[in-house]
This record gives sequence, C-alpha cells and structure tokens, in this order.
Amino acid sequence: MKLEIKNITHQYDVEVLHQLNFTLTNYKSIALIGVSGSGKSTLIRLLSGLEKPSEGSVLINDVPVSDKLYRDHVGFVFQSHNLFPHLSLKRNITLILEKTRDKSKQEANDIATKYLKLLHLEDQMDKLPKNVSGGQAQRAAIARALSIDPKIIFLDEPTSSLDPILTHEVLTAVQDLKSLGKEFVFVTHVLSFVRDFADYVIFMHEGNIHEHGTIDILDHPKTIELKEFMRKVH
Amino acid sequence: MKKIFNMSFLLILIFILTACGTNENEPLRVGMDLRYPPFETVDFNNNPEGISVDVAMAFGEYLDREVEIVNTNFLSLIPALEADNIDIVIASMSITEEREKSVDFTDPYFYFKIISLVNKDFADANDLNADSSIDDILAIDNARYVGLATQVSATIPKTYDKDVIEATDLGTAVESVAQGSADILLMSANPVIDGYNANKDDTMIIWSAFVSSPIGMAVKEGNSELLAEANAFIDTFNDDGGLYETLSEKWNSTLLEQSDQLGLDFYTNE
Amino acid sequence: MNKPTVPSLKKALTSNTARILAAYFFAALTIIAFIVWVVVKQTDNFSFAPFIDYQNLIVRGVGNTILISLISLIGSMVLGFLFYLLQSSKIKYFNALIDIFTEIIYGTPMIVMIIVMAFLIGPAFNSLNRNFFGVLALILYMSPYMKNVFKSAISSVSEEQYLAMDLFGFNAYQKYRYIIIPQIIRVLMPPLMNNFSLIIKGSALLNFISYAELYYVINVAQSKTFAFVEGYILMWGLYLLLTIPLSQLTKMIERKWAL
Repeated sequence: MKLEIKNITHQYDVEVLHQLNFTLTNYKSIALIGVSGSGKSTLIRLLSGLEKPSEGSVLINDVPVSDKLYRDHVGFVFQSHNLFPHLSLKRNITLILEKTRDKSKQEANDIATKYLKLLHLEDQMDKLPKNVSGGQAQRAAIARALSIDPKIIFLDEPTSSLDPILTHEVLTAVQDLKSLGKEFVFVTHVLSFVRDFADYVIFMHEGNIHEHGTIDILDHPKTIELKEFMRKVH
Repeated sequence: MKKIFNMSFLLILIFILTACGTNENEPLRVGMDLRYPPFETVDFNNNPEGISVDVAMAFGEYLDREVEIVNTNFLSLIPALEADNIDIVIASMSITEEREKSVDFTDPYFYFKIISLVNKDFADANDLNADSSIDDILAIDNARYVGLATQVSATIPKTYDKDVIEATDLGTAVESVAQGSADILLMSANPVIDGYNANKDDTMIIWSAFVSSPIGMAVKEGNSELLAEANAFIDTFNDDGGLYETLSEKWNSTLLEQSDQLGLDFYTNE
Repeated sequence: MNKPTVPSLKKALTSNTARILAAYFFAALTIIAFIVWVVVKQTDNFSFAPFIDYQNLIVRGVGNTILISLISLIGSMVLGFLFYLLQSSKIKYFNALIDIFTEIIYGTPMIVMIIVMAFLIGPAFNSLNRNFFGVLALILYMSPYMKNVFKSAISSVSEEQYLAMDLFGFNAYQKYRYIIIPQIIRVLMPPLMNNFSLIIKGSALLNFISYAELYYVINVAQSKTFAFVEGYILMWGLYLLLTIPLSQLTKMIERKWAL
C-alpha cells in the first residue's frame, strides 16, 4: 500500500496532530505504536476515513480517503466491538451485506457464515452481542469488517478491552487471516503481536511520527523516546 | 313601492332577531352534584335524574330556555358560578351566611331538616333512642361528630362548639359512623336514612331536627336578572298544578319507599 | 450411562417449578385472606349483587378510564417528544422554557394540576369543557416523564454506532429503519408502559371534575346502593384488572428485548 499524509492538522479527544507529513510505500501490514495520547488513535481514524482532518489530506494508493470509493473498500474494527446490540452476530453482518452491498439474502447468509466460521464463531452466530464473551464479540466485529471484502482493514486497539486470555484468542484469530491477502493497519499495545504480524512500524510521540521503520526498530531503537517506550513496555 | 316594502320588511326582521336577544338561545347551565339521590342522581346510563333535575327542567320550561345539567363536584359549585362555568346552582344547597358572602340565593324552596345518624354502640352507651331530643345529644361531652367539608353537616356542630372530623364524601362519613370511628353524622334526611338502611346493625336514626335548613338556588353575585326570574318561578310552586304538586305526584312513592315519614311535604314545610 | 441421570434431572426441574408455583399460590392466598378478613370485619352481608343493576354504568366507567388513559398516553408522548426536541435545541430560550416548565410540573400534585387546568386555565380561555382541560392536565403532567424516556432511549444509541453506520455506508433511511429506531423502541418500551400504568392510576383523579371514569361511576353506584365496602373492593379489583396484566406484559417485553 502507498500511504500519503499531507499536512494533516486534527484533534481527537486529547490527541493533537499538527501539520503532519509522511509517505510510505510497499508495506502490507503497518503497526502504529506509542503511549496513550501520542496521536495513534487519531491517525488511524484519519487513515481509515472514519474522520475528516481539519486541515490537510490523506491519500492511500493514490485515492483520497474522503472518496466514497475508498470507504467502500475499507474495514474498521473498533476498540469496543461496536456491534449493533439488537442484532445477532450473523445479522450484524447480513444486514450490511443485504442493504449496502446489494447481496441477496442467500448470498449474505453464506458470506456471513463463512467469515464467522473463519473466526471460530459457528456456535455463536445467532446470539446477541450481550450474550457472548468480549473476545467472541470482538472476533465477530472482525468477521463483520472482513465480510465486505475490504482491501485494507484498520484495527484500533482491538484487544485493549480484553483480558490476556481473550486477547490471545483474538490476536491468534487475526494472524490466521494473514493468508487472505488483505492489507492491515493497526494500533496495539501488544508488542508480540507487532512482531508477529507487522512488517512496518510507526512510533508516535506527542502528535508526531517520531520514528518508523521495519520491525527491526523495536530491537534497535534509534531515538531516546522509542528506547524509553520499549523499556517501559517490556 | 316594492323597494320600500322590502326595506321595511328587512328592518322588521332585523329588529325581531335582535330583540330576541342573546340569552333566549343559550341553554341555561344548571350545576349540581349527581351523587345525592333522590334529589340529584343518575339513572343506570349515567343520565341525570332526580327531584332537583326536575326542578331545573321546570325552570327551563318557565323561562322557555333549554336546560343543560352540568354535573359538578359539590365543592366546586360556588367556584363554578364565580367562573361563569354555570349560570345557577340547583343542588339542594343550604342557604348559609357564609355562602351568602360569595353568591346570591333565591328564596328558600325546600327545607331540609338536619337529623342525626348515630353509631349504635355509642347510642346505647349514652341512653339515646330514636326520639331523643337535640339537647340530649348535645349534652354528651365527648361525642365525635363527622361532617362533609363546607356543608351544614360540618358547620352546625361547630356552632355548638363541637369538634368535627371533616370527610370529603358521603360514603366515608357514613362508613365512619357505622364502624365507630365517629359517633354522629348530621345530614339531611335522605342520606341519613340511606346510611341507616345500609348499616342497620351498627347505626340508628335520631329524628329530632337540629335545624331546618332552608334550601335555595344560587346565582353569581350581582346576577339580579336571573335571580328575579328564579324567585318568580319559586313563587309559582304552591299554585294549583304548580311544582310542589307535580313533584309530589312523581316522587312521593319513591320517597315513601325509603321511610314512611317522608313524603315531599317533609321537604316543603318548615 | 445416560438413562439414570435424565429422569432424575427432569424430576428435579419439575419439583423446582412446582415449588415456585406453590410459593406464589400460598402468597396470593395470604393476601386474599387478609383482604377477606378486612371486608368481613366491615360488613355483615358482603354482596356485589346491588352493583349488577349498575353494570352498564360500570362498564362505561372502565371504558372511559381506558379511553382517557390512551388519549393521555398518546398526547403525553407527542408533547414529551416535543419537550425533548426543545430541550436539545441550540436556542437557549427553548432550553430555559422547558426547564422551568418541567420544574413546575414536577412540583405540582396531579390533582392540583387537574383542578388548575379545569377551573382556572380552562375558563381563562372561555372554555366550559372541563373534561378537555382535565385530560390536558394529565397530558401535561406526564410529558416531562415521557421526555426523559425519549432522552434516555435516543441517547442509548452511541456515537460510535453512528460512526459504524456511516462506515458501512447506510443511507439515512436505512440507519433509522434498521438500526436506530429498533434500538430506541426496545429501550423505550418498559418505561413507556410504566408511564401508561401511572396514567391509568392517575385517571381516577378525574372524578373530581365529574368525568364518568371508573372511580366516579363506582361512587355514583355507591351513592345509590350504599354498599360502600363492596364498592371500594370492586373499584380496587377493576383497577388491578387493568394494571396487573399491563405490568406482566411489561416484564415479558423487558426480558425479551433487554439490550
């Protein structure tokens, strides 16, 4: 994927990005790391087109993220699964496929079942989000993001609301998806996952892209801040 | 010639129409509380009926106006008059000094003797019977009186310096005498008799009248026109074929059913 | 290996439900026994018979209670929604208006509301229609509560959900039809039905303006039959007949639709 961030200025919650510029090509799985408030949540929301920057523009694969065309091929997994609470796990998916992707009932059902099975949720398909575990709900959210057949999937701290066991469960499931040929951008605190899943790392600090490179930088940080970060997280 | 004829015809028509005035076409709104049989009550289909209803209808006939019975909570009758919600109150309302401060009453057309419904145990304990005098009753020091708020049943004991528990409806008042949480209820004959009939084992009636309460119709203070018409109407009651006669014919059997002491004349005489 | 355990499991289950049923049965019996004792103390010959003559009247009373309650329910929902809109408006004057209005209504007893509307405000508008203003009083009284119900129901759909809806490309109609409104209704129902029950119970106060609802018609029948104890028991029973099924229905819906 080709990532172009041009002069971005935006505020989300307490995070502030100010005149950020960055370009990246050729990587398929990008991790955003940094302490809370460093700007990574803001950045991923801008990259996915979920939010529009106050100033500046973002292009991915030469397409502006504000384009509907871009948004139709993007999947997003929120920190808290964000499934529609009144619908079953399966219906959460089929509703989208039927109404916004023009699939027939049968097609939608098949696709939903396929992805829910992929995420090991065959027994939970007809349950409501409140009746499954946090890990299962998050996996369902991932299945939902996959079901629209996106080219890029964005995950914003997908396991931070889960305990270590469920975290492991979800991240293992995500790793199984590597074979699907999709591209990923994700924010996470779980460095082992970064090592296993990412091929590029962007370290953010105080609203800036402070250091970036392949996963090597985790073991050989150049900047003091990244050194500090790695020391703390260990 | 034709023009002058048409013009004058038109003028006469207008004159007649305006002379008819606004009142004649508006119904007379009569206020009463339809929970006091047999004077103010309803039939099985919630239509107003009763002696006061008949009086109201007869008044309407007398004035050549339609009558609308406006069912109003007794406590709200005078406020309703003052707010022009109703034109006149024909609700077996006693003429009292207090009330005269707010409304204008007609001459009395009925007299309600106020008698007593007494708790049986209380009566036995104090040697009271059906013929005891009011002095006998008043002599008892700790008698607990119950009465309906704003009505003579509450104000009369007070004039004798007695304490009165005030109830808001007839049912509660009667029940308290039957149960013994009160000893004496002063009311006009009908409710007392009905109350006794419903609680024959626990209550008794003492017939001597505390007062003979004059009953009048009430109009808004200053409505001298309607007041004069009402008084003129009342003057006709004693005539041959007047209202007392027609009411007696219609209602005596019903009244006598309740107690053989009461024909309509029980109410028409002081 | 399975056979011995399955029958005994069944037995355990049925004896548990049987125990619960028995508990409810005896509890109901205790309460009924208490009521019977109270009644027997008051009257020698308890009988509903005198009321049979008044069945037309009583049916009419029940009908009017239901009618007026439904009208008040719908009216207060409409007005409550309007209050909600005005309260969330950007125009500060509207916010202040609703705030003050609500404070006043919260502080006014329902009976006072009815009297003020029917005898003060109605006449001020030259209206003699007491019933209309009585119902209006009920509607006004319940509107703030309805407003709160709408507020909590509408806010139950989180910001994040709106983002998700946008993300997946739903159009406005789809958002409301499939996601927003179904959720709002689920959250809305239980408190709405509770409010309905409140309205039914409050409608009894309309007897004061002589509206022929249940309390009033029983009063009338009592004035003719003097069967006061039976009358009150009958009145009580009829109100329960209206409110208890409603509350059971509410519980069922709560269980089914809880989010």
